[in-house]
Amino acid sequence: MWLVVGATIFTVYFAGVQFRFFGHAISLVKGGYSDPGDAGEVSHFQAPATALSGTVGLGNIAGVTVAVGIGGPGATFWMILAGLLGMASKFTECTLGVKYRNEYPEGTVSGGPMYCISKGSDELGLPGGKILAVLFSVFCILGALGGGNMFQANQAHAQITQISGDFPGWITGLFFAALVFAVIVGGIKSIARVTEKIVPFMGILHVGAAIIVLIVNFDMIG
Amino acid sequence: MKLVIGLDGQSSGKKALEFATGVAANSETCELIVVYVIEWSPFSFQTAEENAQRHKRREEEISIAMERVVDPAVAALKKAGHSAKAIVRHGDVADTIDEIAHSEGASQIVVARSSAGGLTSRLFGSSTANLVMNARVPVTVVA
Repeated sequence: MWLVVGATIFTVYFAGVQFRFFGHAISLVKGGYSDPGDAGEVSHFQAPATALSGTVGLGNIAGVTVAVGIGGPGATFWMILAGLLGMASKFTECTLGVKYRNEYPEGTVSGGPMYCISKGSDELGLPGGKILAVLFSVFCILGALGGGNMFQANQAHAQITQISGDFPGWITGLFFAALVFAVIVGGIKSIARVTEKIVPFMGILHVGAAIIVLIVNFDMIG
Repeated sequence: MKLVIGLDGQSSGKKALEFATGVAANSETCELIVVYVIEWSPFSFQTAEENAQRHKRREEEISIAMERVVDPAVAALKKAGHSAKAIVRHGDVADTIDEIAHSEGASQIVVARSSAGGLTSRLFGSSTANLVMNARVPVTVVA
């Protein structure tokens, strides 16, 4: 709810930037504004593709199913509306991210809301930026535990039991925990690299599977 | 006269260099432009970690190419009395060499024959073949 309120404010403030500059966004990603001298740097396609890989999944796939399951088909309309307005939030978020990012002397960069909040409020002379930034980081950790781990493990378990029959949830949990342990603590970077790279194909697979479901159930549409 | 020499960091590139030197020796004023292209696509997929490191890696790639391939070639050409300069760039090999030759107003591109083989070159062609097909400047392929 608050996301939509925020998104509406951004849409009004930037006078519908997500619609006015849609063509501009496409030509940017295609490389229309790329300087040939910058070849070899992160391209205008790679940056959003990487950002997208971190976004596709929980909200877009599992979240939509849950929303339609609880709210019925009408939920789709509100999700589309929220998505359209949300483009303005993303625009704001990314612009701030670039504006307040850190560039380190050895040539690497890092950024994120915690830097935007602390540096931005310093610039405006508002107190408490640091505290808000720390709060954001703490909530991020909590969100990763709740949304990133518990919800996904729960969803995965629900899907698996549909095929294999019922078995205790802690078995799935333990299995995932072992996998995550191997990647994070064991340092098996190759697994993380592979999963990050197959995300675009996951998106294609998801849309493809949805189209197949629609075709198979064609007689029930309308 | 201006000649663009495409190097690939392998022994076949040396042959292209020798051939171009031979051509330059026959002409009174010939500028040699040694080009090394680091294969790179703006549409490949990278992880967030790779993105953060990208600027640094790019600098490293360019300095390695300069150090190992291009600078020795330019030094050898200059020693032989030719006027030579070096360009190292990221991109598609064929497109980038053509782009450089076109913008520099070169009269010829000299490259070595394809060193690629196997399934990939069957599917996508080699850089040399792509250059020969699409270049806006005459191309000499040295065997």
